[in-house]
Amino acid sequence: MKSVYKFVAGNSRTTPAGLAIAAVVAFALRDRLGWWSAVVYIAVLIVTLAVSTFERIQ
Amino acid sequence: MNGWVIAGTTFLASGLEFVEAATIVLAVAYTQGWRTALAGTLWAVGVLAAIVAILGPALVRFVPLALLQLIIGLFLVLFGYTWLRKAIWRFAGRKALHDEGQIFEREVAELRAHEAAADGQRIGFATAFNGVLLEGLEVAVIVVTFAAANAGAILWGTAGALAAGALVVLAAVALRKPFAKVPENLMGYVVGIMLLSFGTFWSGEGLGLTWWSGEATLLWIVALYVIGSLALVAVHRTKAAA
Repeated sequence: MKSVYKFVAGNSRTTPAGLAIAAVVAFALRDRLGWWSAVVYIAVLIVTLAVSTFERIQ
Repeated sequence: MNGWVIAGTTFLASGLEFVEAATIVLAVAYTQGWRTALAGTLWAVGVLAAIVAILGPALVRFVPLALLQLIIGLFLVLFGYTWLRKAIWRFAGRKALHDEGQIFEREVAELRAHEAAADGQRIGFATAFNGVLLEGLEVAVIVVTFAAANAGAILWGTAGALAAGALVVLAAVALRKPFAKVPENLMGYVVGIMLLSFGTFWSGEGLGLTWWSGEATLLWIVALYVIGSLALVAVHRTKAAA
């Protein structure tokens, strides 16, 4: 299980969580915001990348 | 979707993984002979080819497209994060660059310890097999996911991976030493950007999002990740210098 997690997410804690948040938020907002929901999706993914680079180096 | 972009991405990804695998195979060839090294390599390549040949068409046939795009998009985003984070850390000097020469010396030392033993050949075969299989597994998954997201992409993705594999094998046989001058970090950075961008686009499609420029939005996504990642390199460099 641990090796599968390492293979898929590179042992990161923030990237799976950030990805899940981005997907749920964008999906929830897609009918209300139109293409702005795609902007929100990308923005949350970029913030997730930024936060993940401050994790302990594997 | 442009087939050349898919082929280029799998070419770089598999080139990078095969360079790492070649170091292990060379260490086996150096200590146990080329026959053992190539036998382990060919068996591993066969297993990887079977994974791509079986999983790719099966996914396309049995899983609905929107669900498939969402799942593979999410996987590609996670893979892309891993590749890009490592590249950012290395560009910023927070993580050591890959030293193939050092890895080669370590592998040779480990194999030398088994050389005199009766099972030296078996261990050499297993080392080459595991090295190629493990390094190639991520490439196989990437090729399968590209194939699943886009009809016809399996040919482009496989062609890119095979071209890189052939190039690395030929270079390894000709040079007979580890590849010290391959720009591994730059290649890893490009692969990370492409995986993250394709993953974002396909998972967005799977979520039913509307893109502001249709398929051309992919170029915007690439540009945004490049700008964001370069800014992160600068931030980490500044932080390290302070």
